Amino acid sequence: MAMETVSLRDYVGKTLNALFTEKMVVLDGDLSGATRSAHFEKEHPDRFIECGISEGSGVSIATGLAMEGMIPFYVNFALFCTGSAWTQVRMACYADANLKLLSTHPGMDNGPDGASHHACEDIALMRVLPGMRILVPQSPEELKAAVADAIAVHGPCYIRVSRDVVPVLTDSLAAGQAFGGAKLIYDDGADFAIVYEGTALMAARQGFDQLRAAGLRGRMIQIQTLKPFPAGEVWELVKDVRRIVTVENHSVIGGLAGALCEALAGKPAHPPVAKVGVHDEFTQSGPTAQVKTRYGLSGHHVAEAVRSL
Amino acid sequence: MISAKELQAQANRHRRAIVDMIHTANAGHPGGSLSVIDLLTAIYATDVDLHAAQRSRVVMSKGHAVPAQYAILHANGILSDGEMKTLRQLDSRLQGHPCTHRLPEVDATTGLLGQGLSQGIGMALAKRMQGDPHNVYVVCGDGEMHEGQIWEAAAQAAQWKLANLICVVDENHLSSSGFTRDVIDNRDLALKFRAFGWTAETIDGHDMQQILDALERARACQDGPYAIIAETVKGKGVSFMENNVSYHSSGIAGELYEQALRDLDALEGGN
Repeated sequence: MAMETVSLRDYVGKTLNALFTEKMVVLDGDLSGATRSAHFEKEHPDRFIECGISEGSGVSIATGLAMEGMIPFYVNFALFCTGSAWTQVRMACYADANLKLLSTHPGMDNGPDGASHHACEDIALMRVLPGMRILVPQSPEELKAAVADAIAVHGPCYIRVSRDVVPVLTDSLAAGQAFGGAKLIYDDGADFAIVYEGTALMAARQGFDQLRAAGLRGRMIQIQTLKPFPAGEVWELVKDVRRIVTVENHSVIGGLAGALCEALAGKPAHPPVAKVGVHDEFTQSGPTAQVKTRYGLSGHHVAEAVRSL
Repeated sequence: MISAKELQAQANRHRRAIVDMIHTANAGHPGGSLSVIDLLTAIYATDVDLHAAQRSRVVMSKGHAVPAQYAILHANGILSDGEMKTLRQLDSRLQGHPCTHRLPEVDATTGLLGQGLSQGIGMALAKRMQGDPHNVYVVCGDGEMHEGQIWEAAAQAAQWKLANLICVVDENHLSSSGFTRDVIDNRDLALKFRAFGWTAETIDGHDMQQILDALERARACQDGPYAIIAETVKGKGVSFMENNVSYHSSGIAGELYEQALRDLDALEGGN
């Protein structure tokens, strides 16, 4: 089945332009072409700061801008935003600074560059920081809503944006709903629930289609806000299903699977959970789709995980 | 205009507050607090109105010396006498390192060395964007000059010609484990800042007139960022702490506290 697809990173600069306010500043780490923050630089050169290849200092500079009332968006690859500058982000959270991190190239989206550049730990790194909010959109409209949310709500926020293509959904049950929390995307029945984050939409959707073709009837549930985790909303959507599969472009440790299982652990009984994502190993270089398939993120893996329970 | 002599007396009263705080807490970093207090006193007295909404900022990048900053906030009525006895205690605004979330007047949340200069750059950029004419002072230690992020920031500040940014290095020559020259030799810090594109000078960080003059030159310089490398003595003012690495991090108890008070009483402005 042919699906229209989109790479959300193409909308990063354009979205920042569309939502520009006088307080907005965009900071780059010498990757504005790849993250598409260059579109912002072109329209607002006086609000664009090229920090060079200096992630730690770049994030601390953004923190300083926030302390003086600006709304800084530090835009970089996922690993550089979160991993290279982790203690700097942590201090911003401790200060309750109005710091916004906007990343592209999450998970294995940058297949050819290999494990050094794959960000399979960024959700985990951000999720442990008190006060940090994590938003994951899956469409240009959701990206715009996430950035608007980040501007509107004071405090540190991390927005994770796909570089690889994701399908454009034309039949989502959540169309038109306000961004945030957990969303029921498809609802065919209670045989299974696929719970996923937006950058893993391709594998989630393909898995859903394969299971449907095999005669299973389930749900697809997108987690738009990974933190604070919408535990109550998710529970209402999964409590009656036979089994749950989490799907994430990330390690299965500390990310979406971790957040969901932490939420379910307090229930006297809950459906069993299988985890699709990278299983505690370093990935390698390759064409992005092949890397994802090799390391466990594909429609096939999703369908197999459902059948395993 | 307040005289160097009166400022020195103020600084020495702050020394007493620092020693009292750390004595009460039985923990803290007296050496670096006492080495930086003359510099900090001059910065606040000449350019920081703590009661103004829009004002110059002071980033204590060497956050462990925050008792020096608390002493000044106390003298300016921000902290009460009672609070000064709560350093490092649960529920106090006087955290072991500066935290703006609890005490906004410290201006920056620091403690992890090396990050303050970058934060100061962000503040200086914001002030430039907002047309705010005030300055940003970043106070670093010389041990902190070992951090790579300092030199990332030094390059960035020069690139952007941040004339409203002043970095003051409290060069007391000692870090946690010994003389900085034996740990990792910083060599000529002023020369290094100049190589990165700053204007830089070296002064005696305990000569109040030299401090005032250097700050005046730094504020007048419109070429870009300005570094003042201040040669200081760790533990300055308390005989047994001076140049003694044991007082990098230490409480001050019993007879030593009495001795410290006698030393401070003998200083100009002492009680």
